[in-house]
Amino acid sequence: MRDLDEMKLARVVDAAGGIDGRVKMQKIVYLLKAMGFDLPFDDFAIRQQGPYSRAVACSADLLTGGGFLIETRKELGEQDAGGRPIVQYSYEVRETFSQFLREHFEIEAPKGQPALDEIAKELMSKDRKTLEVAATKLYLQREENLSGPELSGELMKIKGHLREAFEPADTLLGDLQKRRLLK
Amino acid sequence: MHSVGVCHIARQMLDVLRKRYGEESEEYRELEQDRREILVAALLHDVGHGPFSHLFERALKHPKSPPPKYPKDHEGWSRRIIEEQFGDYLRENGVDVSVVLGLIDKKNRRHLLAKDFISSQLDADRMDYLLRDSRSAGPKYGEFALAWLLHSLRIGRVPTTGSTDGVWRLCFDSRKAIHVVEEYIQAREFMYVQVYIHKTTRAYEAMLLSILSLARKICEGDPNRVPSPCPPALAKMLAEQPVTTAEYLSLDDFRLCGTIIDWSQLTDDGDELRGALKRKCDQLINLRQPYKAIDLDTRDKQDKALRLVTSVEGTPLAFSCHRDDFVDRAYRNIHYRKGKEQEEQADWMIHLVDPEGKTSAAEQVSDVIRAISEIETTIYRLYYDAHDPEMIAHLIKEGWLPAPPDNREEVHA
Repeated sequence: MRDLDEMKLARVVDAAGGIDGRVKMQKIVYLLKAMGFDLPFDDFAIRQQGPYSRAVACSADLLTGGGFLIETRKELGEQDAGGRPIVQYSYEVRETFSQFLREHFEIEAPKGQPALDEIAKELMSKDRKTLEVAATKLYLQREENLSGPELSGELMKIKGHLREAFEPADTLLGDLQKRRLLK
Repeated sequence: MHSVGVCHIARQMLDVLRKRYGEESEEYRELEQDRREILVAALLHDVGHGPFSHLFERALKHPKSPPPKYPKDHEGWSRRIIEEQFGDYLRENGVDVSVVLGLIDKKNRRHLLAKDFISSQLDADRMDYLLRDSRSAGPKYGEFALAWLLHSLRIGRVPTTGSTDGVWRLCFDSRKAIHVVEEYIQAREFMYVQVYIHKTTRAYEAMLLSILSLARKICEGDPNRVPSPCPPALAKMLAEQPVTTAEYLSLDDFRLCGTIIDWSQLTDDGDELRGALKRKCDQLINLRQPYKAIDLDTRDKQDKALRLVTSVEGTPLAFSCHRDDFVDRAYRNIHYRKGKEQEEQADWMIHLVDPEGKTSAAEQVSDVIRAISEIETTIYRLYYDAHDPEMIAHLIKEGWLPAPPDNREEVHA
């Protein structure tokens, strides 16, 4: 990461009007990058919940520690396989910081595309599981060059537990492609 | 030397496991097939680093018009160098180059057991650099019992998403390894705090970043305008132009240090930026005057520092101050902060295995490891050049530094 790269993440959180959940944050950043928004974080790799960037995770921690993002912890009332409570961390930009971000760390939209705020808010409105499956599918297509039955098989292997999200994820990707937001 | 050390430790790890399980065993068989590739990957895993490794990457920008498939980072350069410089030789000697490239590719999800040797929380790379850096820098607390760690090395089936049987991963004997793993993680924590992110280490890094940024500013995209003498490859990279593999390989720590020595003796032609470059190089290499640091320990200071570095952007003052931040943990516990980092899960655990083959994460077994893994090492600092009078005046004006006492003699009636 270069100096102040984390401020670009703050600007994404600002554009989305806040992001509920670190998984959602990772997938939104991945999808925005795939659309061609000029964002750093080139270290995305497949992890437990799809494309994951340590640089994004560290940036969120740095921004929170520095007081630029406000972090809220919420127990969702569910437990994971190990019996631990599932916790969601939500992020929003500190109110007085938003204008500064827009002045100094604006992220230009790719030519002919809607502004970052519009797209980020649209992605933010999607379900976490939909984003997780959509980002994973896109990653497998783009980074691992999978297609057809091979792609379906791999997606089922690593995201089979989110089968109910396959259709909305396909709808999301299809819509983004139709609007030429995904190349 | 580090790469040779990593290769040596990887070989020791393989030998320990071969002796324990046997060449044809279910556990070891896969490693025997990949043995040569693991050793080559261990030897070449850092071959794509530029001078002063990550710092060089932070200081330079990607070329404006790169040719197709131009490497984006040191990992990309590693892949390119291995393929172009060593590919034929390796293939002639029966090494599967695609496996080697896969082992050093953090995105690759295959060969997980073999990848554990090169890229995991307790891999040959970390084992070597902790011991080597501890010895080079002096502190004893970076050391740990390598021989015992190797002795307790095992292979176990670790549950993972998408595989009901789990997958083979490097593990350590739960009866023997706890204390040495604790020692290793503690060593890493100490080395981070006391060496890698020590304020003076980072101060010198901030100076080097300033120097390379200044040189970039001076040349403004034209390699011929980089202060001379300068290695042609460095001049091109400072000018954001692509370089060939041979040119990239011609740059190393020594050449960059030599260039900084040369720049410290630049003739004064009245140019402000060249003057600043000469002075900073002199401070870095001859006078040993690193930047001073201010801890950003309140939200107000954080805000002020961010506003300071953005407000001086595009002015000469930008090369005399640097906002530094860093966050990491000596061991990334998957249950850290109750699930915050679940995404990394099995990829980044240190696994322990008992004689029945049951695996567990190190932090589930050791209170010490759990405690250390919850320590988040974070730094936020503002570095500044205390020998730049304009920077000092600006910091005084902005309330960062106290105004000097009025030297005028008081006139008493």
